[in-house]
Amino acid sequence: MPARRWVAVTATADFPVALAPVKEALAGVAPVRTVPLPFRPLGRAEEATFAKKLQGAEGILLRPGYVTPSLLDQLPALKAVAVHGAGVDQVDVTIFQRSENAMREAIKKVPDGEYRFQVSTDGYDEPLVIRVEVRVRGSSILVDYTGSSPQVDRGLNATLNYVYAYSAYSLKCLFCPAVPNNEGNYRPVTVSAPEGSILNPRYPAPVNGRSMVGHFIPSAIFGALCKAVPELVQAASGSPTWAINAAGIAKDNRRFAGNFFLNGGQGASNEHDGRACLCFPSNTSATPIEVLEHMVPLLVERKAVIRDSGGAGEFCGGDGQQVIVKSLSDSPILLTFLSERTRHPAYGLFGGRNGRVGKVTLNGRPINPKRQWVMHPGDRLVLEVPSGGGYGDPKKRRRDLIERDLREGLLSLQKARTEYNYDGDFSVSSL
Amino acid sequence: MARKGLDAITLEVLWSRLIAIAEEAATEVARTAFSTTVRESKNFALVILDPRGHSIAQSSATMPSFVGAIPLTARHLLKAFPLEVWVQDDLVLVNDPWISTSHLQDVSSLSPVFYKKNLIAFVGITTHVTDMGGKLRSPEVREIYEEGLQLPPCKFLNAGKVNQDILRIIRQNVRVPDQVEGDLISHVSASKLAARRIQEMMEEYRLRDLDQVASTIFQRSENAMREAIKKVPDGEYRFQVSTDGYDEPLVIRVEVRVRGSSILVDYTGSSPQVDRGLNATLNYVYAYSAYSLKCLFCPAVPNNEGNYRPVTVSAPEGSILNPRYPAPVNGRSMVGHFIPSAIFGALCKAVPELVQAASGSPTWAINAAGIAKDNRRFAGNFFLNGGQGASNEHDGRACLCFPSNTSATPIEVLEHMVPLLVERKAVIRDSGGAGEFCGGDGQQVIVKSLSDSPILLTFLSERTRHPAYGLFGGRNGRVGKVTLNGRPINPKRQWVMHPGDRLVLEVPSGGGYGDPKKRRRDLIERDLREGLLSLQKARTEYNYDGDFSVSSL
Repeated sequence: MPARRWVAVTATADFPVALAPVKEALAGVAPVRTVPLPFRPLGRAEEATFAKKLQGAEGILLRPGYVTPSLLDQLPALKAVAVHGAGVDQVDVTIFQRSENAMREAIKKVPDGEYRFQVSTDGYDEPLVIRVEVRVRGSSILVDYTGSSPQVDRGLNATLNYVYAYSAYSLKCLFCPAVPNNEGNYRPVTVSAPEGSILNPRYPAPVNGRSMVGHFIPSAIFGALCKAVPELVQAASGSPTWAINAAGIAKDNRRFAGNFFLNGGQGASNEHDGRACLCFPSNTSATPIEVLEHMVPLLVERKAVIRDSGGAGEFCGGDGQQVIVKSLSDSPILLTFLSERTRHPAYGLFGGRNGRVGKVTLNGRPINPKRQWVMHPGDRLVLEVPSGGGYGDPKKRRRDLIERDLREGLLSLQKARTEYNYDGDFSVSSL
Repeated sequence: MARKGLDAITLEVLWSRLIAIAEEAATEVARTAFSTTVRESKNFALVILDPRGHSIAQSSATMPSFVGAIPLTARHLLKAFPLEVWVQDDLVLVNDPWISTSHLQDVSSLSPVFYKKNLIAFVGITTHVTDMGGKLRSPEVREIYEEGLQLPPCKFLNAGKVNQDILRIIRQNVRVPDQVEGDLISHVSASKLAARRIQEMMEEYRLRDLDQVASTIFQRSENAMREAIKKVPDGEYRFQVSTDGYDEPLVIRVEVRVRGSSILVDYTGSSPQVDRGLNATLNYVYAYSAYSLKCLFCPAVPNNEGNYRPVTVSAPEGSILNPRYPAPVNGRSMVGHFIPSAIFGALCKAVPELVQAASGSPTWAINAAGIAKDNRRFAGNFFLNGGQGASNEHDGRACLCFPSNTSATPIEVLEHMVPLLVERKAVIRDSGGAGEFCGGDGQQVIVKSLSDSPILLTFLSERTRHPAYGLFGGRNGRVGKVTLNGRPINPKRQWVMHPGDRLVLEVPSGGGYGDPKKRRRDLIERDLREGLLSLQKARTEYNYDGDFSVSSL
């Protein structure tokens, strides 16, 4: 006669589990017993002790408990291991509460008030406006986009989910960068955008280029809060992330289609230069040349940081990049882009200069990168991705940093003289 | 039936019955579909097929391209879904243009007819739904992916149960989900009706299957077609027509090879496929080629597999008439509708009394989409036709669809569906090509936007640079033209109509047939009287020397 089957719940005093619903769920199936398996690595002797306690269990409900294969090996009757709780239980509450508290503590330090800013994008035919009011009240923040452009009948609308995500992310970056992100960080933040605007469009608005609107959100929020928390904000970046989308037929009759990302310069912040060619606010990695050339019949002839392109400042904006691509295909390649800031540069802050705008040319002729293009065999495409804005008065930039940039070829002597008042007698050989 | 062969009376009764069933089920499609393309323009077809996918009977006043392609579609689908997998009340949907008719808005279905547990027939239906998502129908697109949702063969109805996932995917992808769903459900109800009627017929005539009826129908029709072809002298007949194309003209070159009672239609030498939506898949090309020959040689016999058997169609892979996937195809009628004029041109010397001068085809259309005042989304296709080509003994009709069978969308329906006001819709005087028999006139349509918001606009339009040819001394028709606020626009592109904008479409007219100088005087005076002909044209083109004035008659 085998022993009666039972189910173990590995609750501990620190992380209790309400047993009533578990018992109810298993009523008539198997009895439930609590075995306080701790959530930490177990020593060999301890593991043997718990193996003994769990002997005969057909199921383990884990929350939390430290189960290893060597422990499970000792439990021949075991058929199922389940993890407790997809919903909000006591443990979740603790995580949320701690994160919320941290976020609220940081927000409390910002003086109450309405902080406003406005950024413009190239748009399709005409510029689009993102207008923001950041309302700080005690430990809560409302981000309101009233006054932003009405939705457009081009793929330059961002749905509210996306707008919420970038708004919450911007505030998280500002106020609580060290705490792992979770529900608790969202609780103090409310986001509102008028229905029918580019930031809350009505179905069936086109949305495929939503990053060309949404990636401006951090720069709008940072702009709004730059007086309140100057030491936390960052000048605008050469975002949104640019991309080449290419599709066509390769020589072996294989169809290809791919998106290839390339990033502009990051905006500078207090104590930090912006990085060249770094994706902000998105986290998209640049597509490696090897991968691009493997996937599509394009040759990358050049991919280089654009010297002098970052906005000058005590901390200078990250440089943009120039990419030259040639078609190696026998047949036409369909081409579209993600691109912006070809007319509206990334702003600098507190005396820092704006970044450089971007540009797309096909066979030497500037083209409107919001449209679809066809790249014919041998055609050559040049993309100049915008750079980030500077932070603080360039005249205050440290001399050793100016000379480092000169040495590394990222800064021309001419710009060093005119923008940074550099009066040294720099030449590569002299260093 | 114990008899070896079918007697003529039984055959006629069963044959007519099958055609009547197809007609009744087609009426069910038209009555239950939601979109104007089906309801008003009759842009659909229904075919009863044998279990091998051969056409036995078809609805009559419907689309030639669909009736010709449905058997090909059925045979494709029978590869994906072999006979043994079908059960009662299944319905497979497809809109892949290489399997179905030729563009994504043509949704085809196939459903089985069972009788006493045996699969005895299929019902095939194609309807042109209002919308399949993607870019608003325009040849501007570069790849089929821009043209909307592609449906591979899929069981929409599984033993009578609608696959809700497929329905949700379709609804989410189209601009007017209720209209499209309504159209798809019309396939279901018409298929069921056709199946029930066929089962009743089986019961009534104590048949076990349709094999004998079908093979007799095929044989008789094939014989009639072959007899007619035999009268044409053997030979290679060549012709070439040009279309406006997108940036550059496109060429359809045809060689019609007649050998005894068989015909090969070969399109070698036609333009290579283009990366604009002006490619027609082979199913569509086959359908219009077979239709052209059917019209010429065997117009009186009901159409079925038998009429197709003497005809072979070939077009080089990679050409506009047999493009490779993923070529864009949404404007395939702007190529395919030229096929009859190419074939007629080729055969005009061989059978001058049978051919017709070129028509002011393809069918033109306005496609409009936007948001109405009540925040309702709208999207619609509105068809308008040019003049028919003249033929031996017959003037071409004004504003008649040829070779397609699309009815013009009534003004009332258009104005009800979209915020457009039709300010004028009139036959264009003097526009038909002069001839002993004159080409049908085109029409002018003036449309004004009553909307508060922009309306997306695309067109089907052609012959704005290449007129419909006249034959045997008959003059060419008049070319078409599209202007927006008085400025001529390229109608192959997408346009936006702003509140108050005014659009003028001048649809091309048909070519004339025979020397205008031979035109009968009473016909000239009739046209003068009816205001279709100006006195000036009567004098210069027809050498009319009468002293006509309206008051004098």
